Amino acid sequence: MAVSVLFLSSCDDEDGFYNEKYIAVPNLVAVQDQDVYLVGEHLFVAADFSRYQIEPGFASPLDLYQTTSGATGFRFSYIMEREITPGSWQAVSTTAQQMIINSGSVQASGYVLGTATYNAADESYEYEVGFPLAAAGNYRLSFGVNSDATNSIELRSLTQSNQLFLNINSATQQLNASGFYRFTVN
Amino acid sequence: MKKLLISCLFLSGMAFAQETENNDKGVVGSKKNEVRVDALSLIAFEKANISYERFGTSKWSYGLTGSFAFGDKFEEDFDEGYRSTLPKYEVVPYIRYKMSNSDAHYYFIEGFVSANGGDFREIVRVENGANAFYKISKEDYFSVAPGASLGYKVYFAQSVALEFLVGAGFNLLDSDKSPDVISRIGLNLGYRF
Repeated sequence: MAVSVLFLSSCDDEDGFYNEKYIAVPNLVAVQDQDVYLVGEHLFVAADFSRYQIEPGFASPLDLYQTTSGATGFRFSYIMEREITPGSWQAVSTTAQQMIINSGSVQASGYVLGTATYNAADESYEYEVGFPLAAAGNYRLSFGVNSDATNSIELRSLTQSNQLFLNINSATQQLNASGFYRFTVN
Repeated sequence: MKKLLISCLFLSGMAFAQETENNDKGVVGSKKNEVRVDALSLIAFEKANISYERFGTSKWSYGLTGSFAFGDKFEEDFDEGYRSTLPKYEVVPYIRYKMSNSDAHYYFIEGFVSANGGDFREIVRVENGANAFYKISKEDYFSVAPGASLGYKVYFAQSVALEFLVGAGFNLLDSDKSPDVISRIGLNLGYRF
C-alpha cells in the first residue's frame, strides 16, 4: 500500500489532463424559439460565434482559433425526448438525412452530435441544424449527453492531438431549472 | 502478483542467507565496494539507474546513485498531456546504517538527497496585440529533495547482492514546477568486490 502511494505520488503534481483548457463564455448556442410548433416543422439549434471571444476576467478577447491551433470546429451534443405518458419520456431518434443542415455538421441517432464548423470568410464558428418534429406531443431538449449541467452547454474544440483542447462552458437562459428546453408540438 | 514475487524473493533470499551466513560472514564484510543496477526502474520506468556503495569498517556505508530516463513512453504521455512533469535525471548521494550484525543479509535505513531535474509544462495565456491566446509552455525544472528509505539486502555467493529499497523525499526548489514527492524505490542487483 505504501509502495503504491509512493508510485502514484511521484507520477505528477496533480491528477488530470494537461492539454485541456476550460473557459466560460455565455450564449454561444441557442434554440431558435417559436411560439407554436407544428408537426412536420423542425426545431432549430444554432450557433454563430466569432473566433474572438470575451473571456470573463480578462481585458483582451481570447482567440479560440489560435488557442486550438486552428480547430476546424467546436462540438456539442443534445438529446430530444418526447413525453410518452405523463412523466415518462423517450428519446426521439433521427438521422442526419432527416435533419435540415444550414451550416455546420451533424451526426445523429438517439442523440445529436453537432459541430459548429469554422468559416474562415468571417472568422466564426457556425451551426444551424433543424431537428424534425414528426409527431404531436410534449417535447424536451437537453444539452450534453451524460452531462449534469443544467444551465449551460458544453462545447469542445476539434483539436489535433498533442495540441490544446479548449472546453467552453456556455451558460444559457433557455433551459429550465432541470436543464430542459420544453415545448409542445401541435 | 508483484507482491507475491517480492515476498518469494525475500523468503528465498532469507532462507539461503541463513544457510550461508556463517560462510559469508567476514568474507562479504571484507569487500568494500559494490555496484548495482536497478531492475525495477529499467523495466517499469524505462530509467537507467546505477549505484555505487562504499562500505567502511563500522555499520555505516555511503554511496551515489545516478539515474536518467531513456524511454519514449513517459515522453509521449508528457506530450499528450497526461502528466505535467517529465523527470529526466537524478543524482542521489546517500548514507546508510546497517541494522544488524550480519553482513550476509540485513535491513538498513538510509538518508539521501536527490538532485533531480526534467521538463515541466503548463498552459499560459499570451497577449498577442489586441487579442490573446492560450498555449502550452514547456520549461526546465531543477530541485533538491532530502528523504529517507528503508531497505533489505541479501548476498548470494559472497558477492552477488539483491536489494529492495523503498523511500521518499520532498522537493524543496522550483516547487511550482517540480514534482512534490520523489520516490526512491528499487529492486537492485549488484556485485560486491
